[in-house]
Amino acid sequence: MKPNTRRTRFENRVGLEREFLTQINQKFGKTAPLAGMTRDAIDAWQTRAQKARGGEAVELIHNLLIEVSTRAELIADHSRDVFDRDGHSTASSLDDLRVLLAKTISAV
Amino acid sequence: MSRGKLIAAYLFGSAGRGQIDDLSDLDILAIVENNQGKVAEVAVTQLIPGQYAHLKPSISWYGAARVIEMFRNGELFAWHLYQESVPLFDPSGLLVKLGQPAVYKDSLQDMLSFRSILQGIPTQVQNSSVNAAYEAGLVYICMRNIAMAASWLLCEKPDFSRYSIFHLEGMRRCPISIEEFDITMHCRMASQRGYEPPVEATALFIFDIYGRLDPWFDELEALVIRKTNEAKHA
Repeated sequence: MKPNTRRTRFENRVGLEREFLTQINQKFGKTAPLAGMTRDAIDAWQTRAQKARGGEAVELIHNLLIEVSTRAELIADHSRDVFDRDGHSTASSLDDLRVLLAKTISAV
Repeated sequence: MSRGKLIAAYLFGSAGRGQIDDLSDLDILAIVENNQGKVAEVAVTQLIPGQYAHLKPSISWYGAARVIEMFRNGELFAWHLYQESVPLFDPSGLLVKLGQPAVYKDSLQDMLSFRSILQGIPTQVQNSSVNAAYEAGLVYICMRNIAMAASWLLCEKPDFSRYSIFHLEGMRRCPISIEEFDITMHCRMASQRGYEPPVEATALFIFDIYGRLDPWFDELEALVIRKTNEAKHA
């Protein structure tokens, strides 16, 4: 059986989510882990991170994550996304946000 | 301003199955006219019956052409809709007119796609144990979707229920407990809905259940390959 090389919408989503979760959780993972990239998950992370560490940076990071999530269409997570075969990648359009996020996190 | 026009709206998922519980959200399929954009969400949410008012709506938007294509292709989501959708707004009887979807032919391919994601998880956890809750949620998604795809071949009809992995016929029971399965499910809820990640969701937990799941999925894959070949030669 040949390995399946089909890239689904879901696989693209997972790749992007892992990238941004890793960035956040390397700094916050032990006290306030980010568990996902939907609006609800990012908002809940902000609450946990504010309690754990406080500071303006958390709000700034929250806003950047929401922008990433909106731009990459991760903001909502629908059941049907898992089924959908039409993968598309928005990874390259996030480069400016990647830089901003890395700068903000490194300052925490 | 969107020029979209709502053609039909349906409940699917746990509401469509009549299996609403505390963990359910309200999955809604909104079908709009092709290439005209969405309509305002309120145009859909106002259709929700009062009995579901306490559930958070999750709207999936589709153009009519894509829905028709899914039914013609026999995609698993079309079967999901065929079996478990409940109309909220359906003046033209759209899904009824589409009838039964074509035969689902991608059971093995869909299984392998999710197996591939699953098999990458231990390495991800090894490298970034701080993402354990997220990765445990992915284990849930992979288990659930592999089971749904396999159920086409192993069960009387496709099983889209939450615990479908425990309903597969013709092989030994999935070697994790319901409690362990529920932990992975709660991790997925944390990823989607912002719930507090379960404390049990550690790297060790994932390695433990993966160690039992991987050989079981080998057996499942072998069985699905056999059934696929049998179906081809039938």
